[in-house]
Amino acid sequence: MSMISHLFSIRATTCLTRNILRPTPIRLLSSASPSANKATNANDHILPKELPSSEKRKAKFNISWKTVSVTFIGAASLIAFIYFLDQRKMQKRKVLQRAAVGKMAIGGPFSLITHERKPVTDKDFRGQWLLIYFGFTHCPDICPEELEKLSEITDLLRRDKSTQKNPFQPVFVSVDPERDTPELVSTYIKDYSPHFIGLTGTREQVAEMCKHYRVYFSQGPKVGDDYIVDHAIIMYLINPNGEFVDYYGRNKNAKEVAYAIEQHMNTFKESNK
Amino acid sequence: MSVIDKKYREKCWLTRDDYWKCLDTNKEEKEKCLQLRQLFESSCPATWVTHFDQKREYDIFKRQLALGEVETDKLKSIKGPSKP
Repeated sequence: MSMISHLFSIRATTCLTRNILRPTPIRLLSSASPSANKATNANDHILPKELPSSEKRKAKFNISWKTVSVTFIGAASLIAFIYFLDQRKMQKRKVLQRAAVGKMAIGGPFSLITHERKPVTDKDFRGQWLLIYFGFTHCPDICPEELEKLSEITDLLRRDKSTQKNPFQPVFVSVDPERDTPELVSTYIKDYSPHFIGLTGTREQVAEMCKHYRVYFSQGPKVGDDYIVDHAIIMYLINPNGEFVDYYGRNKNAKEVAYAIEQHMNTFKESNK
Repeated sequence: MSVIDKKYREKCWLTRDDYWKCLDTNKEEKEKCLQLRQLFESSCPATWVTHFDQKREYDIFKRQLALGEVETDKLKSIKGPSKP
């Protein structure tokens, strides 16, 4: 029994020894061969040397002229793009403005005859401020009151004539073309002011202008040969470019209207410098 | 003489104002202002007379409405514009 156990123990020891000794030969070899050590050292030296140099080169490259030029080109492109968008936006605005002007809600062309039998159109009044009143000579009370007001407005504005470049012209348009001949209109307006221009024309011509200016007018029932024309009681302000600017109803007095018109004149003057 | 003449218009307005003043003084009793009524009618065209009558009626109504003197049943009884 003891001999058997002794043999077993010897074998076990041998196996253990072999296991322990296996990693050791490598160490011995490395320490034994100096050439291997030299190779390892060479590798160690090369890597640290290369990495710093390559990093330095990359750093220089980033700050180099290529980077600067690319950045500059990028910025220039961005600026150009923004400018393009801005131009397009302005173009759209201009188009919209033109469209808006072209589609004016009130005002428009007309072709009538003055109280002096002279044919005129809206273009003949370019360069002048117009205050237009629509009425008729056989008007009982409202037209005379409004024309008195128009006369007073004219006097107020003509006082400051020197300060304004464009003259002010009051206009009376008859909505009763059947009766209001140029002669009748002439006699009628002279009762109010020497500065008035009276306009009349055929029924079609008057109707067209009233349509453009959204003026309601309607011939009332006849009593014998007489009748009264029902109509809107509004004064229209037209600027020197022929564009509708403002309107004034019966509730405004002469001073209020004259003041409002002066404001429009000053605004127009400023915007056309 | 016609409405184109300023003097004619002014006379018409004057007779109208006189007539209305009479009505104001006599609390709308037309019987007491017949003479002025005739003068008014002869100084103005017929259509103007009708127009001024309607205007006065409307102005009185507006005044009463502003003062709160108009009752709901009165609103129904008010005559519309007279038909010529």
